Amino acid sequence: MRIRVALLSTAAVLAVASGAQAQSVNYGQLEQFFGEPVTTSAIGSPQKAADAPANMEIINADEIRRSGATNIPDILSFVSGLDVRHYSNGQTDVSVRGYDQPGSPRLLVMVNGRQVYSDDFGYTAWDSIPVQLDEIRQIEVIKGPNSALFGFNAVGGVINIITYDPLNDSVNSVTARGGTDGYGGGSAVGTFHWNDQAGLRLSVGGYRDSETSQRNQPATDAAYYDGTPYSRSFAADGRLQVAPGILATLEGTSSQSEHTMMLPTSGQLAEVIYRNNSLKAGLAADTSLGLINVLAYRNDQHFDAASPVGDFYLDNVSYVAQANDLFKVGTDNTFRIGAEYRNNSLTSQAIMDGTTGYQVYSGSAMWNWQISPAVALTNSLRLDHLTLSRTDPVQSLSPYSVAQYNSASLTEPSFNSGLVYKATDDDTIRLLASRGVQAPSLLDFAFQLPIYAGPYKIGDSAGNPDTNAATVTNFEADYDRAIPSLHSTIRTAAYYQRTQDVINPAFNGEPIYLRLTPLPYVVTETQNIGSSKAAGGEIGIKGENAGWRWHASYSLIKISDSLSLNYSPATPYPVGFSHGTPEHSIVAGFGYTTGKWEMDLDSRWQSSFTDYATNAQGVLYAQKIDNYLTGNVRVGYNIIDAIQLAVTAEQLTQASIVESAGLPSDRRVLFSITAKY
Amino acid sequence: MIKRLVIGLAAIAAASCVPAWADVTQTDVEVGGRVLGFLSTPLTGDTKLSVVYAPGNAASAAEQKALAGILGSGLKAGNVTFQPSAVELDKIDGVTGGVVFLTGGLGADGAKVAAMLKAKKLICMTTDLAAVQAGYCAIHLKSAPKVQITVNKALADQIGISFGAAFKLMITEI
Repeated sequence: MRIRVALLSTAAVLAVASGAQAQSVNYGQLEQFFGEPVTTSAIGSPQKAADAPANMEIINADEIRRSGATNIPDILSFVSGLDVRHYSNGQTDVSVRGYDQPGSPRLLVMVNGRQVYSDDFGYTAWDSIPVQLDEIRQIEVIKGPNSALFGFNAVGGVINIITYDPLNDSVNSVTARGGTDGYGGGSAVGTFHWNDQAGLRLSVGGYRDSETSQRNQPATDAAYYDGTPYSRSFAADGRLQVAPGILATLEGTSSQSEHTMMLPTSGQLAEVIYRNNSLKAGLAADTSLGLINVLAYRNDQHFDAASPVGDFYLDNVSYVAQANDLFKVGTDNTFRIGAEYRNNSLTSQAIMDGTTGYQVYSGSAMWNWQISPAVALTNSLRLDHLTLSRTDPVQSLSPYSVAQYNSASLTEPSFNSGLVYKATDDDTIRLLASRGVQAPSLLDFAFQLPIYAGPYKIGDSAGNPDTNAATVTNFEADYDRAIPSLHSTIRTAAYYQRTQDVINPAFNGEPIYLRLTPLPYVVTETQNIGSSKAAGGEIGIKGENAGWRWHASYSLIKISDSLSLNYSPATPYPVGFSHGTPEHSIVAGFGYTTGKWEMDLDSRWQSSFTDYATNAQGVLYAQKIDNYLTGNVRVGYNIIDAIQLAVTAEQLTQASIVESAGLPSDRRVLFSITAKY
Repeated sequence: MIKRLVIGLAAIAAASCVPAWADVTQTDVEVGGRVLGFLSTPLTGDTKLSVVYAPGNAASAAEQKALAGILGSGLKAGNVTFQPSAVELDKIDGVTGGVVFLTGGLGADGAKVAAMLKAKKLICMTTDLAAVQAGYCAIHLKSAPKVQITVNKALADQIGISFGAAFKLMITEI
């Protein structure tokens, strides 16, 4: 039945497109034409990034190469307004504008629009993302909510990793890396074309490392350290020009990674393994009815953990189907209408007693009105309706029944509004307002773990099917000014943000309270525990001229929590955001290219904050993370145009930096050779 | 009626105001060549480029001279190679095929070109925004400080040219 519907849909698109004689979308060609980055991540329509009604940073392929980084979080650590925390070699958590924590749930991460955010705990396992740095065209960082385009969890921000187009771009490279602490890794990317009608890009890569640092806690904790983290992945991305103006996409990926992990919000260390697979198919048609995109994908993630609370696994399978139409009416109005269906299920015997899932039905619309050549107003709206489902019985002392799970639902609107005023060729003002929605994770809904006192079961730690979504409302004013005489652009932003219905997961283990009916028993459960406000801003400059390039920025954020659970250093709490966010950060760097040489330096300083963790005895403790300065230097030399040698010294300032309550980050020296063909 | 009034006012404005076009550059011409690659039916290869100018109009004549220097005996721009020829405004009826490059400063005289373009279904490019606003030429080229393309949709529709959806979403249509 589903196959028949899909075939009928495809036939309908082909029928509408048969009269169209347009070329397919080629973002690389558009970028080359306009001479600046092009994005679709702000409103779902191709735009020059500078025109987008969103606060967006784009990191291009040259910047990725010159960073010398071996992974995406290390690249992001030098982006203004981002909070990047090293918890282990293999686990780094990233958040936009504060609110970071182990397993940060507020940042939606995607690769070419396919979600790589994990819905089980609600976080991103960066090491398991099946993409090689050499195949990335650009990393798009959106600061602030963008749920109206991407749906749930795009609340703090969005990172969309855009790879090269296998039909229109030819990327062929082999990179080998080696370094201190036993680091070894590499990647290979190859692109194949057939008569300009079909393209296939294959990529494979991985690394193995040695991690010997341990956190300052009892030695028993070491039982859950993984001393040899690794990651490996494979991806195949194909495009087929079915007919003029009609492009088909088929993508498959597989990855496996292993490392030490600080479990989200429980703060306990675990040794974890991810096995991820995905399959994606899409069709884009340039028709008389507009640019129609149909996309469907399946993600599955098998997660194994050896932790102080025991060994457990999580199987998360999600199916997503999307369709949207982007069209222009008259000369000044662009619209996008879309629909999405999502089916998400999570299975675990040890911590869920079975399977729980949800279906999400969504509708969205966007209207971009070019009021005048200098002024554009964009409004996006989206409505998501989520229904929970569960058939397996719940724990005997769970406060919720299976029937309650099957009657639970959420309906949440989100919006993004942006006014962009290009006062002159050099001055751009943006006024933004948005509401984003953070859905409870599947474990927030369905965690099930019995609580024992000795041999006696006395209660349950339980997910709550009636948990509300957390919402983030954001108001922002941005001003960008190009300074041609300095070959630079200054960017400033000021924002105010309010998070309501902050979610406190059951697996925090706090608070514990007593229920008296039907029998006295102990419960910890997922709850909405209040609100939090943030105000802050960023100011930065970026430029390049005559082989030189430079950037510097400062970020400030002040957070005020109003939570029903009061945080104090003596009683630390994982969702104590005001203490858990560094207020100040500065990133700065410069680089120079001359002849066959290129040299870059990047640095970051951030103020202190308080992190938390749970030790092997299950005791939560607060750990002050002192302010720190870190810096990387990379020197690259092209032996010939196609072969580059590079050496990168990471963390020049200190041999070991404590960036979080996890494992310290150690200095590394890396050597690499990259051949492009 | 209203449309004619608007065109008439625009023509008066074009004729009386400070020139709204910058000195043409090679980058402008190259941008023009690459624009043709975004047409629904992209142009490729050798493409005749008729540079229309008025010898008695100093600004127009100066731009024609500048273009002659830029184009030489032929210029590759994107996937086309322009094969240029200068055409006086009074002799535009002799233009057949290819693309027209309308020099700036022609003011209301541009109406003659518009009539020819519609009759012969020819694509026209210019750096004179007023000419596009007045409906005398379909595509305005601006390459500095940033590339910006403005298209007169009504004229483009009459000539029968259209762009791919993604490109159309990134340009200004009037």
